[in-house]
Amino acid sequence: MFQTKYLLTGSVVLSTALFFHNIALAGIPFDSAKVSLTENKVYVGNLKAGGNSRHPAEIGTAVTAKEFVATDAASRAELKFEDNSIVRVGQNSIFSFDAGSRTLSLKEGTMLFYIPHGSGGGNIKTPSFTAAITGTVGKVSKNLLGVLKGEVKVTVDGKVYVVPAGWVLEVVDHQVRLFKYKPGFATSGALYYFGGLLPETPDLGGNPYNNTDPLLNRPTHEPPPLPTRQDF
Amino acid sequence: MFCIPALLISPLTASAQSRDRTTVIEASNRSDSGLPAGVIEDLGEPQETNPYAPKFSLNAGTQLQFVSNALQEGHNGSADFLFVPTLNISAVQPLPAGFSLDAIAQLDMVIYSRYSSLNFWGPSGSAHVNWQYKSWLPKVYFGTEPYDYQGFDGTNVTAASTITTGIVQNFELGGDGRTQLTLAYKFSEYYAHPSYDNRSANLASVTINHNFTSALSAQAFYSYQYSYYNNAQQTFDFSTFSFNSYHRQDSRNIAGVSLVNRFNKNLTGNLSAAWVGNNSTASGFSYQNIIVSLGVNWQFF
Repeated sequence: MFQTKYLLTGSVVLSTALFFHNIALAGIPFDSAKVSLTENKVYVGNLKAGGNSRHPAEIGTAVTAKEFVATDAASRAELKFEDNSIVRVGQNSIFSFDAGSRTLSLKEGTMLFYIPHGSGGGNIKTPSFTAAITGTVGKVSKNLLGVLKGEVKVTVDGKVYVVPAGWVLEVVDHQVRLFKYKPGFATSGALYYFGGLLPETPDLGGNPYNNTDPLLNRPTHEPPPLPTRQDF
Repeated sequence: MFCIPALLISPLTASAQSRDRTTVIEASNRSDSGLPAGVIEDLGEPQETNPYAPKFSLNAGTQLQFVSNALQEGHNGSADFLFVPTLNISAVQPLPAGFSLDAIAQLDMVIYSRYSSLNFWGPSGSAHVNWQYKSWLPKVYFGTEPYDYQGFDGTNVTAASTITTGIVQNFELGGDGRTQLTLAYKFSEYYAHPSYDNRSANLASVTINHNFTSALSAQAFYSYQYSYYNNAQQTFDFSTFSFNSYHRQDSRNIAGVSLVNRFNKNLTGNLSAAWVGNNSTASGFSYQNIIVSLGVNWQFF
């Protein structure tokens, strides 16, 4: 009897630990997000009820996984999730998310996403592709994904492509086009600065001055130390 | 600082993944992305670039330095202000398989305000072959870092050609991409003129860099350098009627901090402070120095 009690207690403790461990591995579900910033006309509506259910969203409005966010022309919104993930939705966009699978869905328009490293990652879904993300920063439109930080695995028509930071994947007529973008793309566009800088900086490349020595952030070449008097 | 490796690795990863994908079409030059105006306004326009295109940079900078020991003799007895303008042009050529070439040609000038007889100037440079197979692996390099300095009166101060090799490893700390730890080791063999400067130098350094914003960063660093002068000096021994040479050995410790701010695409400013302690087996070459430096750099392209 005594041993059974201990076994039972142990099992409950173990099960609870495993449960929380699995949650930690999978990440906190995207149950809801809060609108942290808006510009012009931003709406929230029920996914099942469709466009007629939409109503204006304000800063602080909670958006659940059963709802969508829509924006008009010249309108933008920023959403923050419980795990500090950030999504910035651009103009003329329709955005929603799924809780358990941590999927960010973009039906129309544009978005910029930031998923903190170690938060459990997530997925991106557009009409053209799906993508698996870990700790990553990226820009998305219906048929384009640009990776600013980290690495994204994109699936297009059943085929998987690994897109590293500094590269864009574009889908045109079911054809995939991969190319390295000029560094300026990473920090350009209204969404990059909408709401201020992101917590993580993009992996910018292409600046020769970045080839620095650990000392004083100078190029690898430095003049030697000042000569001593005996050198003269 | 650590983006060049990423630049080199990225195309490999992408091309490796796309090699067996027949639906991938080769990226071609295009003047128009074809994206809707609203998308470009929100995301920017992703113009493609050739990952193997060489990159060039022209920089002009100047440092105003306070040094507590301009003569570098003993302990901080010869304070001075130095004006240190530099002009350099650099080039980086990415290559496949994680290789790259880099080169810098630089013109330096050091102008003392108090000890003007020590003023010197001259060209210096570096050229390296680098290899970093993956961004998380260390970068190794091999090359040369020559210099040739002369006084304003035309006298030779010091010149050397070098063979240099080293390894640099970066680690990201904290998981938010803002803090990096860099460990580096470099070995250099100097063939100098005058020849008593011939030496082998081993330099190890540890640096922590933190980006407060995308423009402002701070560094704390420490380095240790051991130099072995194999032809340091010759003295004439009258008892044996021959020259005796002795081998000078220097141990140099440098610790410091710096702040670097990129004001815009072209202008960078920095403020740094460092302590230098050099212990030498040769008399007259041991010293301590404190250097405080305020500088700006203009990157033309």
